[in-house]
Amino acid sequence: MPNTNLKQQTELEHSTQEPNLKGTLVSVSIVGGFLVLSWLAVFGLFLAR
Amino acid sequence: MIAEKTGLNKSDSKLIMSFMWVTFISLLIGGLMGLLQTLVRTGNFTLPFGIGYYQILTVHGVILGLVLTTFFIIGFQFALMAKTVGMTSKQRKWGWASFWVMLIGTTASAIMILLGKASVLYTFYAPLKAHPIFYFGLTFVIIGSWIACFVNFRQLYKWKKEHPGEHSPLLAFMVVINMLMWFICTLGVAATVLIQFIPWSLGLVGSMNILLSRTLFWYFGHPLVYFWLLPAYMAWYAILPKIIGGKIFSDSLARLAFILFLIFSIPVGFHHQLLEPGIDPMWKYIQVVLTFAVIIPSLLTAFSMFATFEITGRQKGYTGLFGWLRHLPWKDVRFFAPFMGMVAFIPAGAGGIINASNQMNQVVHNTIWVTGHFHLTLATTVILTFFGISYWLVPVLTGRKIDKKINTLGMTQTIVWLVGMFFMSGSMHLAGLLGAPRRSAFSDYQGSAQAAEWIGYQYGQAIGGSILFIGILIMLYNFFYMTFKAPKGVEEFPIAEAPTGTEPTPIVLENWRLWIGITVVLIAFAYTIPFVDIIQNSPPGSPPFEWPIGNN
Repeated sequence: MPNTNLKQQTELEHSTQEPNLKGTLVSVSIVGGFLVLSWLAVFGLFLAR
Repeated sequence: MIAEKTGLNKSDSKLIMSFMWVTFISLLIGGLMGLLQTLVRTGNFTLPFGIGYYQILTVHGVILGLVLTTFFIIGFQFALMAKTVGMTSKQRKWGWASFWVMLIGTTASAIMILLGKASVLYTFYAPLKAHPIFYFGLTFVIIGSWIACFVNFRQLYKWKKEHPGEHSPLLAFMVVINMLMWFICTLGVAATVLIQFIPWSLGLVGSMNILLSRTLFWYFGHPLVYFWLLPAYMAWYAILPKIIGGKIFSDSLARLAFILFLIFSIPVGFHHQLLEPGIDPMWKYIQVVLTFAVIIPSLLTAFSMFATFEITGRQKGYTGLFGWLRHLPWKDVRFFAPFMGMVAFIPAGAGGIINASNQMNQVVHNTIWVTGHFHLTLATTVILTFFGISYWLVPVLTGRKIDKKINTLGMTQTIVWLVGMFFMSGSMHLAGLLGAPRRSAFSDYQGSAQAAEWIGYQYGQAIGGSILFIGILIMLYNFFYMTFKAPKGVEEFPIAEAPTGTEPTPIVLENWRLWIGITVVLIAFAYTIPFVDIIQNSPPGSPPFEWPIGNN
């Protein structure tokens, strides 16, 4: 049984080292997209004037 | 009992509460002035007793932009330092010296503004001339803040000597970064006030190099924004994770972000002077590039915050792409107020990037868009985070507990603030895009058609300003309640732990000589040639103008 515990512990450590950050990726992409779109909108205003 | 739980003793608490009192009194005075401005700009309200618009505009800017922020930040930072690295009685005495010097300076400047002798706005641009006491008062505020700088530096130095080979506590590291940035940038404003403004206002010299004074002001003026923002980031990085039941995402990343802010916040002042004649466009371009480098630590912070929320949520068993959002303590004002501040920073940051872009700056320069922008950064992102901090810091200092009543009132206050700011800042942004100027009292500009387009938005600002003033009254009640009425007890001083099982923080991140050296080199690179050019090639200086608004 010690081996199983060791395996579980290794899996736990592995999962701690590699957290699931898909939501973070999508969230920061939305923020980045908003920054780019707002910049382009005012740049369009500059060109139009 | 307070000492055991919080690491602060009663003497520390008394010092820090003194800073909090000045903060909240400033909020009332400055906020009232803001309300009056928005009412004047509807064209249907005249100030009583011969009070001038530019007088209340100056009170609003100085008392909220300079006084409230500096007092809250220094008080909060003393709390963080006392908690994490300790405060000796000698350091506390110097802390009091800092408080009194700043208060004397504030009082002197405030009296001059209230007497109508210093209606020069918080940027005190020459050639508008205020009474010399106004400039002396500002000098005292800066000197008082420098005393706090050196107390903080000493606190960490002493701790490091007692803990050789150990990393400094994250929050203490962040405080020292912020105060280093503050010390380096205030050298610029101190130089212009002491060498230029004071002799000029006293009549000892007949003229002043205007461009030099503005350039020295903005050498200070942009890092001032980060001096406001970094304490909010301290709370986001190292306090909010504890409140949501998680851990800091990465100690190394947090330190790296703060180092990048130190390096890139200062050599960027020209992006406030993009339309200023007399500065070589090449150097404006270089400083705009450096300004855009500040986006990197801001985005590191956004990533870090989302990651903290997601990891904590997933550890609690929440799944799905955004399921982790459901675990966040939406009904806890200690989380909700700073979180909404973070959300406001998304449009605020977008506006900042627009302002700093050369072409777009021509669309928005000197329009009320800019006022709307810094009401999102300072008056929403920073202030909501400061309010959120107050909901645990004030009870910690007064030996009381946050109860259900204050939590509900705090949640209400946050929502009122957001609604008010949506109307006020939103109207300012839109009116600015239509060309409405900032810094100006009501005028229909001789019935011009363009000015007629702005009036609806000016009503929008007055509606927003009135809602915000209600928010201020609720906040003041909350402060009084937490100081005198809340149930006695021990409130937690929330400080999050670093994650376990990760790589150790690289020792290079605490190499102060390296980071200060890079900062100084970058400042020298960005400013030396422009300063030489400005000093050698500026047109003749300007005599002081005491009218039409400065000193009547």
